[in-house]
Amino acid sequence: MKKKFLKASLIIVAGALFITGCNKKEQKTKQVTQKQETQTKSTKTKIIKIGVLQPLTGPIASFGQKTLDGINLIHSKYSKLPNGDKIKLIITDDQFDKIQTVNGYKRLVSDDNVAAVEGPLASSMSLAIKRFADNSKTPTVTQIATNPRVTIGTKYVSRTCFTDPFQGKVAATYALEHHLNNAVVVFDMKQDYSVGLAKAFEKAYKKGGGKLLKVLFINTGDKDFNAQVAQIKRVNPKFIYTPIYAPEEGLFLRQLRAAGVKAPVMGGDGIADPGLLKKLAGNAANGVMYTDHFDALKAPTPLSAQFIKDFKAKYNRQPSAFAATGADAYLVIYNAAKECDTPANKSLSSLKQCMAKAIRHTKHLEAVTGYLTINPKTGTPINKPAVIEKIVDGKTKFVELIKP
Amino acid sequence: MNTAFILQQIINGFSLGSMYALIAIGYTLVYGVLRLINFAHGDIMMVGTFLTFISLGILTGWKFEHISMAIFFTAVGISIILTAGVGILTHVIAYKPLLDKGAPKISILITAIGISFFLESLFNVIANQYLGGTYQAFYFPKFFSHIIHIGSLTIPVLTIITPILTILILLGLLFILYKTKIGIAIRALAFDIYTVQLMGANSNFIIGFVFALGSALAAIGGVSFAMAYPSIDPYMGMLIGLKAFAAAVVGGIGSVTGAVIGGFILGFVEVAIPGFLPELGGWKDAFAFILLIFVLLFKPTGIMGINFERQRF
Repeated sequence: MKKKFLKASLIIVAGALFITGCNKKEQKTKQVTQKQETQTKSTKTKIIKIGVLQPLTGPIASFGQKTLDGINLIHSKYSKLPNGDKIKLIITDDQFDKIQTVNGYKRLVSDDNVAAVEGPLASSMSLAIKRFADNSKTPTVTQIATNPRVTIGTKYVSRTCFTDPFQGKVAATYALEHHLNNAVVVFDMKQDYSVGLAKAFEKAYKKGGGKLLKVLFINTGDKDFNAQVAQIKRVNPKFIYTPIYAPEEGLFLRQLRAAGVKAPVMGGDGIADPGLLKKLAGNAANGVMYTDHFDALKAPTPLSAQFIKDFKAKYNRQPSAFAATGADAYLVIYNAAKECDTPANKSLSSLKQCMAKAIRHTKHLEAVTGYLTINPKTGTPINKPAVIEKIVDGKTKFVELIKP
Repeated sequence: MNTAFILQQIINGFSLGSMYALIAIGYTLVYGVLRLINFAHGDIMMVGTFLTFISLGILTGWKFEHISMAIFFTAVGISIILTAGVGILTHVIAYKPLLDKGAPKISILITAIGISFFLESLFNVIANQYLGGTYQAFYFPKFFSHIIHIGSLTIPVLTIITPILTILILLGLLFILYKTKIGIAIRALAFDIYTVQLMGANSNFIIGFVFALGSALAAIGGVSFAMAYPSIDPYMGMLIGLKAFAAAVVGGIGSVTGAVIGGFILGFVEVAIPGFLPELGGWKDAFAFILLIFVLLFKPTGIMGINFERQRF
């Protein structure tokens, strides 16, 4: 036994010596190559890395995939800065999971040394990384997180979409204009987006003279909504507002219509996935409305007309609002990089600092969903309109464009 | 609150409960034999559901129109066999090497959680890569969604079939455990694995059989779930599995009859809370687990509480 132990320890010591020896050599060669690299770098073009943090798998993977289509397309058009430097995308999956989001964000910032991050898509996830964006001073642009708290109290997180108070108001105004003066709200207790949007709707709806009959809640991942449906049936509202996500909305609609409730249903941009709604709800998806960021049939700028044309050529379908907003946030970051990529901002930290400022001071930037002007104080675009869409016979139909 | 309403809730409770029961049996069987809480069992149920969906897709050419009974049951049959295989595989690849090395139970428990994540991620990749999205609608013959009206009662065919199926399966399982040679072997193994090995019985085969049996039942449970709530996703096994585990514990883990009783109780609670106290509808998951704590306070070993020193299953 003793002999064995001795042998083993000898081997370990020898191994350890060998490894440390090797390491020293490696370190030396590394230092040399690093020196060479820095020498060549100053003459060559630089590569600026931008992290893309989106839910590519998980419950709302289809949102993330659609967004990525838009980002990839716009990146292929705008991958080079005027001074010759290139932009490289580093794509990371946040899985619509807070832990994965934070890990992915940290990895992008500290391992990949990105200059900016586009994403995360969902409000809950954007709130989860807010502190890390501040700590690492990384400019972060979320394309579609609508909860107002996402950009409040930080200099580094901005957005390129409207916020929930506006989205909720749009829905409330629509309902009241169509004389749907009593309503039930069904929200998802586990999502910051849903809670915030429900409150925004309730406030605007009550203010406009509407009567809230009941506020019900569900949980992410629920499949049985018969309890909620039974209560809706009992109060028989004229209007049902469902600021939840598409997977739950699909089954909710199916059970609601099976129970014979015929009142019009409206949701936020969280259910803006007609394909999934149709798949999960079948015919019950017909007639459901939602507020969204963009309609491919109404191109607001020359750039968006070009984007829609290119998108059709590449993917053979109309761009969704996700693709359009994905492209928007990229353009905002690209614009900031264009402004800041100067010899004065040689170090990554000063580049990031400059870009964060530039993003917040975006003015009248031509983008896909319109001209973007970001309010430097709130980090939210001003005057961003919303569209109301409706599913008719399995297809989306444009209903109305509402300006703030 | 008339009798028809109460009767309706009881029928719904039976239906939901029997789905939990089918899955809970798997927890209890494996626990009885290996004293291992197989946390991947909920995901095995998900695998069974997805395999049924994929087989159905292949058999109907991904059209899912006019699914006949023959095609449906072929698909379910294929899925049951494959899921049983997946169950055996998880044991052979993940648990057996650890058991053979005499690893502590906690390591095997962690491995089970690892398997659970692996299966979820695997089917997430498959769903996103080949099926076109995480969420899929589940298709089945029209017959099952047919609704029978008796007075003011509305009873979907499915809500009658599942409980009957569950009771039949329970009786079959009890027959296997008490009247057949392999059943005697399983019970013997649960008593003392080393003595059984010394007697010359092939313990690996018996354990494999238990895993196959539990996984096959999980597949049936998963298919009944998918028919009741026709939206499937790779994460569906998490909460359902957790509740089925609660059912197994309430019933007394290690007891097959207990698992079925626990499943029914859980089903009743989940139906009764929203039915009678609709304001609390959103909290039904919380009530399911409050029940678990409540039962364990009074009967720490569950309703059919088993004393492992004396009896098995």
